[in-house]
Amino acid sequence: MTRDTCPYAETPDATGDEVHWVKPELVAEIGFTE
Amino acid sequence: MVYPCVIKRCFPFLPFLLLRVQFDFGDPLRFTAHRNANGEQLYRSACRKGREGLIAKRADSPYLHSRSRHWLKFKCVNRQELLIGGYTDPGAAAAASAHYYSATMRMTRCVTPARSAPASIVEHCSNWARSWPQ
Repeated sequence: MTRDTCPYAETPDATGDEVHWVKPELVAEIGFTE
Repeated sequence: MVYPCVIKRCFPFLPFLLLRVQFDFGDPLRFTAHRNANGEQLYRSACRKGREGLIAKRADSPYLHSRSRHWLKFKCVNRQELLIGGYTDPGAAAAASAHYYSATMRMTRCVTPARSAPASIVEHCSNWARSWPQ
């Protein structure tokens, strides 16, 4: 399910780390606190 | 020693007030306002405003130099559905790309977790999402 480029219209700011892009097939529900 | 007990029963906040006037509050010592009622309402209000949560203390409990059951922490917990578009290796700084999942699945905007969401979390979520029934 990998691909070479960001699957979205806008590429988020990279932090210098290599990003592994994937086809946008999986949805995650994330709980978080601030 | 009956007298202090009567005082405490009649004026449960008196010790707090006495403590308060003993200090001049300025940096680095801050005075934090408190409320005596409507905790649940305040909690919901705090979460709506994007605050971290609430801290509660039994009004008549002493201040101890240790952990106690008289203090409670109520954290605001947020949740968001994200479409996974990429990930970084575990240990790398957060650069994972996720996309707000909407009913129409329009892909107009990438979202980078702003606050140090470790790549391992995204990886974990990826595994979690993979376990969904197809």
